[in-house]
Amino acid sequence: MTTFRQITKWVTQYQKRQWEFTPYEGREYTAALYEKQGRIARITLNRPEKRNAINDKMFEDMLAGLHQANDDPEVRVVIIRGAGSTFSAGHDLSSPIGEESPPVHPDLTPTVRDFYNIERRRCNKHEDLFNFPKPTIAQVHGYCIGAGGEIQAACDITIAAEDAQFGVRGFGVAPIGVYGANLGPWPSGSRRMMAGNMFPELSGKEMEATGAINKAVPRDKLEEEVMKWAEALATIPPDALAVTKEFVNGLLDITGYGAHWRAHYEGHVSIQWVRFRPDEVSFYRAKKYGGLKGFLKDRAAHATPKRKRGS
Amino acid sequence: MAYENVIYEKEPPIATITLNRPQKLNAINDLMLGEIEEALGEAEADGEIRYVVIKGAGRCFSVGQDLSGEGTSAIMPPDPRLRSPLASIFRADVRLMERWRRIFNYPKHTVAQVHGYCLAMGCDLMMMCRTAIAAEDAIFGDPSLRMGYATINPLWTWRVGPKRAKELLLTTRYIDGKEAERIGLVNRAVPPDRLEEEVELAIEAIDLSAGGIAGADGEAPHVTFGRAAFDISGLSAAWAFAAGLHSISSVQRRGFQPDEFNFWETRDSLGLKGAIRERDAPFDGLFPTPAHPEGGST
Repeated sequence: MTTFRQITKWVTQYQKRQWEFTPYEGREYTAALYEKQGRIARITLNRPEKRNAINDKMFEDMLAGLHQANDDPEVRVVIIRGAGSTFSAGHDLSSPIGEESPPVHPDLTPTVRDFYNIERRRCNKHEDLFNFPKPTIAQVHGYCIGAGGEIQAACDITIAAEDAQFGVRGFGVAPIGVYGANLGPWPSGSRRMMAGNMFPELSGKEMEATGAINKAVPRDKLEEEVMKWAEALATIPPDALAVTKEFVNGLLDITGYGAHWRAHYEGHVSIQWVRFRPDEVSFYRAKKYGGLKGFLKDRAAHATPKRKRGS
Repeated sequence: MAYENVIYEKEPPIATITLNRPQKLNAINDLMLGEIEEALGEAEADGEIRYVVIKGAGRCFSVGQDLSGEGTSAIMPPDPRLRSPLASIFRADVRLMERWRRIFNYPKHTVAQVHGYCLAMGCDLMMMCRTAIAAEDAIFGDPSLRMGYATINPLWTWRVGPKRAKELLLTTRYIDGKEAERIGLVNRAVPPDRLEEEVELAIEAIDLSAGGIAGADGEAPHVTFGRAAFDISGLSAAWAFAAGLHSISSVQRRGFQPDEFNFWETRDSLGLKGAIRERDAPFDGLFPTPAHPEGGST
């Protein structure tokens, strides 16, 4: 039988999504795991010792998992979650020079064109997840910071533990709180969501109130709640569901969402030229002299005082 | 003018359109939508009227489009087994979309007064109104996707944002009036026994604050301030997009996967009520439908 895949060789690379380039046959999933339970596939971010900080291998494994879920006709829903104590602490800031998941290291002295290519690839990973043809659910517990928040936001549905912690930590290269393509004005137009670095984090409960996530439940009920939603999504006729997902994403594009992804990576490119005054914390400078721990200590000393809960 | 499926009453400055098929839980058919438009036209031409309240007779606002397959050729896609050509389905969707768009852009202030079920096309009608006030125990949702139809209503993302829109459309979960207020689907949720009074108070408040702007001369400022914001953020393009996607969802129903629920076959064998029960059964266990204040079901 001729499959659709065999007769679509004319698809150009530009039209392809990144997960379509990421092979899954014979893959050894390590930094993210893929498993299937009937109609539901699970991708588990799996670097618990690093709080699931995202490096290139994790992205690759995640994209391969999406590829595999897409190709498996039995799979109706994809759940993305984190192993260990946390969903994801964001980009792995200890990644070696040359990895693309964390921001480009200035020592590489890339050209503007290099930056654009890299940033486009970085942002497109999230955008491709956003436009993945099957429904996606983020199951969030513990920390969901920075790029972890982007993954969560790109999923169709987010269910979180009430005590999960969402946020963005400036790390010197991003002194302005770039809150991510998804967490800007769209979820609710909420000023609170735009607060960026001003508030170290929002809890799952607070995120639910802003409309940026769908539901917050006690941590021990999280898995059960997610399975319920996954079951509902798996029961919907899949083709009709794909049309409706396209419908909502298309409406967002009409309101400028697509342009916002672009603005997001343009922002990333621009912040590479930020120069730091002596009293400001530069990630790379601090890391050079004090290592990652030294940077974290330096940043803590400069951070906005943590808001007291309930005040 | 005499209406069959709606009741039109006026008590200046308010006109009331009551959806009136209580024995069918105010299911919307071709005649009802046509009469809603006619009644809106009557109120528009009436210089004494500044507000139009839309509500439902009997137990609920409306359960949505009439799924009986009779008298619904203008508002429902044809039975997929007829294999109608895409062009005719698409044209019908574009025509229907034009009608919703006109209700959304209606020049006088429309207020939806919602109690009981407000589902699918009933929910669309509510969302087209400028203001919506609901009973706390009203029930909102769009189960269209359970039978394979995408929504036709582009307002979802404007009203509730992307995550909530996907939640309500993709999981087809039902929510009550309180939650609808929390996520911005309605302006206010009030105790059920105070619903009518709260609608009157809301209109009084709008009238006091808006003065002439809400009145007969209100069209210009309303269109410039109120509706332009939607169009500037893309709604004018979204109507056509919605019609296109809805026709895709209608035409793809030509083929069913073996384990997929087939509403039309089920309706033939079990009747309308049986088919709806069958359609909703897998979801009732996951997201229990909020209890209807007077019992019973869709």
